[in-house]
Amino acid sequence: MIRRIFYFSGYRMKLFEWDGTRLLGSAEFEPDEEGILQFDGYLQQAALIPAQLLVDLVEEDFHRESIPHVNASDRKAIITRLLDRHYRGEVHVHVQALGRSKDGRKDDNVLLSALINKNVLEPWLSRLQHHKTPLAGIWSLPLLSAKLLTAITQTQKNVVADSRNLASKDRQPRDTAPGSATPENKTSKDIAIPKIEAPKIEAPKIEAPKIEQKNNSPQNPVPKAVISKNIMPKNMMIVSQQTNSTQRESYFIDGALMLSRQEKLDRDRRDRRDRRDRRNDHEGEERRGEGRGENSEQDRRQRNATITPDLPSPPNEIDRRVQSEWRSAQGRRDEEGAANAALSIKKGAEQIHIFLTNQRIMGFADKLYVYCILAPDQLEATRQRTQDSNSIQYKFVDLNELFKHYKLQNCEDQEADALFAYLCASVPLTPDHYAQAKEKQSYFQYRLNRIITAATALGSLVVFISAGLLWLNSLELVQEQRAIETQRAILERRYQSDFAPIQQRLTDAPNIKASVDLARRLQLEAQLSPEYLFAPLASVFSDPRFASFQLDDFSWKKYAAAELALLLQTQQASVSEPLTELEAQAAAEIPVPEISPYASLQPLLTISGYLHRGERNYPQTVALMETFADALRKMPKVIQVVVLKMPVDVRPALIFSDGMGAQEDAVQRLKEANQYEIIIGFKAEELSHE
Amino acid sequence: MNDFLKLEFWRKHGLNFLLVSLSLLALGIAMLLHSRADEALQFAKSSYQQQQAINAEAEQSAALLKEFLPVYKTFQEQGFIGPPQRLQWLEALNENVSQHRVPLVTFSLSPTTVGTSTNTTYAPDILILKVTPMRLDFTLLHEGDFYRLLSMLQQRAKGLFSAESCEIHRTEGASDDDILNSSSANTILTKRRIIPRFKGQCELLWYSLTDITQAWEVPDEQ
Repeated sequence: MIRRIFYFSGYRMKLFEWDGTRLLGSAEFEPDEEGILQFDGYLQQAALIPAQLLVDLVEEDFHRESIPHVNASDRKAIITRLLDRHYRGEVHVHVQALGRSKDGRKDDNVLLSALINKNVLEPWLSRLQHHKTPLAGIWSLPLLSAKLLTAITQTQKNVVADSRNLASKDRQPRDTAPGSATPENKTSKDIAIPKIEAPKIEAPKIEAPKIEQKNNSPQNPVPKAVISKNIMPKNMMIVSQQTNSTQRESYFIDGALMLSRQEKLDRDRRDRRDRRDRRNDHEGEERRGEGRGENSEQDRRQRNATITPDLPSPPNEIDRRVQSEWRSAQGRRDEEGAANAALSIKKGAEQIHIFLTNQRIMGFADKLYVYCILAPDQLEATRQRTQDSNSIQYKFVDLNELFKHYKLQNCEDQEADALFAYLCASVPLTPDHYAQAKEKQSYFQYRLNRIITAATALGSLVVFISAGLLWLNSLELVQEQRAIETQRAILERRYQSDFAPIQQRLTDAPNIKASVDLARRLQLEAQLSPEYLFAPLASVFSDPRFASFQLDDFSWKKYAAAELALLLQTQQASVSEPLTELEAQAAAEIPVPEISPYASLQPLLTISGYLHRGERNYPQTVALMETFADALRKMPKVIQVVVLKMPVDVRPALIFSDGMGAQEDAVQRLKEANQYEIIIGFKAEELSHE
Repeated sequence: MNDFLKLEFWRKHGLNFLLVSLSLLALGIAMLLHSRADEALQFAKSSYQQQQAINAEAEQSAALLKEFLPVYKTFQEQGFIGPPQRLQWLEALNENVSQHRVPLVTFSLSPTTVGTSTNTTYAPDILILKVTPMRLDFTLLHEGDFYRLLSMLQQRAKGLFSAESCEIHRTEGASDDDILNSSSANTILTKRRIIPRFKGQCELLWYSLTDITQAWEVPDEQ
């Protein structure tokens, strides 16, 4: 994703476009009529992508405050009061949380900052708003510089190694580095410490760094062990020059930004000099490029890809004398720049140190580590002109090493502003530091448009895909429907050929079955006929033991099952001993067996006749009668045999009378006295329900 | 913001919304097509299942016919299924009486009625069962004649009857001794007259099922 960074140093506007770690191009727009026209032209033709504004202004102010640790609404009210107290009327304000204090009430530490002169930004912001550039926000360079601390400490090892090497190598001229001002051009009146209020909180406990304090000159390098452990000093200051006319000094305690200021280095003269030097550099580069021949074609393409304002065309001839003069002038400018850089760095560091100790932010015994980010052509010369003191130790960081650390491409000719532009490009677009909502309105509209475009595109894609899937599914359904209809047609044809001619018979098939079932049941019912009992009954009567039994009456009748059961029970009760009330109640509670609805009628056979007692006495007669009844019970399908009447009936429930004695023969014996009557109940023929 | 929404917004996103509208239109058409296809498929499935059920039912009925129609025809031939053959029953009874020289049999054939729960326990729900009561009064020379009378009637008569009740009484003056003295197993010779030794009566119910196959347009081949 391409990031567009507008870097504003308070004078001119610079443009960087990053694609990840690759710098696509850069451009500068001067604050004159021509530059504004170029800026307008660029904004009008530039691709519509989110833009970020990175400011490095002298008009940026910082206040560190300590507030009670309260809930969100109270905290908001407190911060609002603080901002109103320090920056009343300012629109570009920012609050950054610094964590809680370790001592006392453990208050929250916040860093308040503001751009206290909105008129500086206004011309540029108005152009951005006029062209509806989607400005995602305004970022502060000092606030972003905290991200450099880790990289700086990690690259120190390389810095030391480079310092050793640089001492023995010839210095190569820096092709596109703008010229530096002469030491006399830098006026002390332009160097002003920004308004810095002493923090209200208790000054943090400042401890001396644990690293050994030695000069970091090539002869006395920083110990490798200390560097390799990547120990971050407690009091750090980063000094960097994004432009030739300013120097940014940011002070950190334990990695947190405490204060920062931009030191002006005769801006007007330096800026004019910048343009002139850059033009000269460009001419010299062209000459050298032609001298390199074909190898410079790639560099030329790279330069053409870079968005650069119009510059004078280089001369067509190669003049060795001019080239020699240019090199000589370039060397003088490097020497001059190194001297100026060393002077400004030393002066700025000492002023900051004095301020910090006066404000009791640092102890007098604490050492301030000043990390100077410099171009490689100024690094060694500046290092040699800078001497460590008891309270300040200087460390020099090669800008190219930082570029390598971040793996930045196409940054060979860039200043530190490119580095900070990259840091700005690497942060999320929200939140920013200073931009107001109305300044980001174009960005919000841009985001809204992007969201709407993406949503509609995605939605349309999803809907189209869904429609396509539905359509494909519909085709499958149609195919399935056709297949099923084919199967149904096959079934229908089979029905028409096999079953339609016998439709009526098929309809009557259940009735045919029912007729057969009923016929079978009635057939079984018919088989339970009296003539079928003749054989078993004849076998009983033909038994020699029962030869004295004469059969006179034979009666057969079919009853319903319940009716027969009741009849048998009644008849049995009539010849049995009367039941007690308790026995009758118990007998009544015996459930009547459930009769199957498919049970046929049950026949009841009644036989009666005469027993020729002969010479049999009472017991013999009773025994014979019982034997006869048992034989009847053994007939097939007999469920109960009840002897209603018997020749010698001595059962308790009945009356029996006879005569006995010497004149027994005189007793008139009636034929009825030897009659018997027996009823036999038979089982029903049952069919299983089919 | 309103101007933005009214003019620039539509100018920027008109194509997007047109695309969305087209996609929604396509989706609507696809959903309509899918709905119709699904409806047609469901109808086809329903028709197929219905036809399957019809075929299955036909196959089941055919299986029933294959299993029970021969038995049905047997009952048809036996006279149980078909119209009540009252005359044939009487002919069979007369034949039995003559063959076994039964002294006397009188009969009473009642009207044939449709069987209901009041006159039979076998009244079917869907079939028509006709019931014909018959009363027989007879005199017998031997109790075995009763057995032969009924069994031969069942064999020869085209129909099915159930003996609901029967009574046999030994006539006055007859005894088992008479049997012992007789020269024939079936007769008692006293003063050269045949004296019946038993008399009795029976209540019979003749059953007849209405023939379903009579309504068939195509005569059964079997």
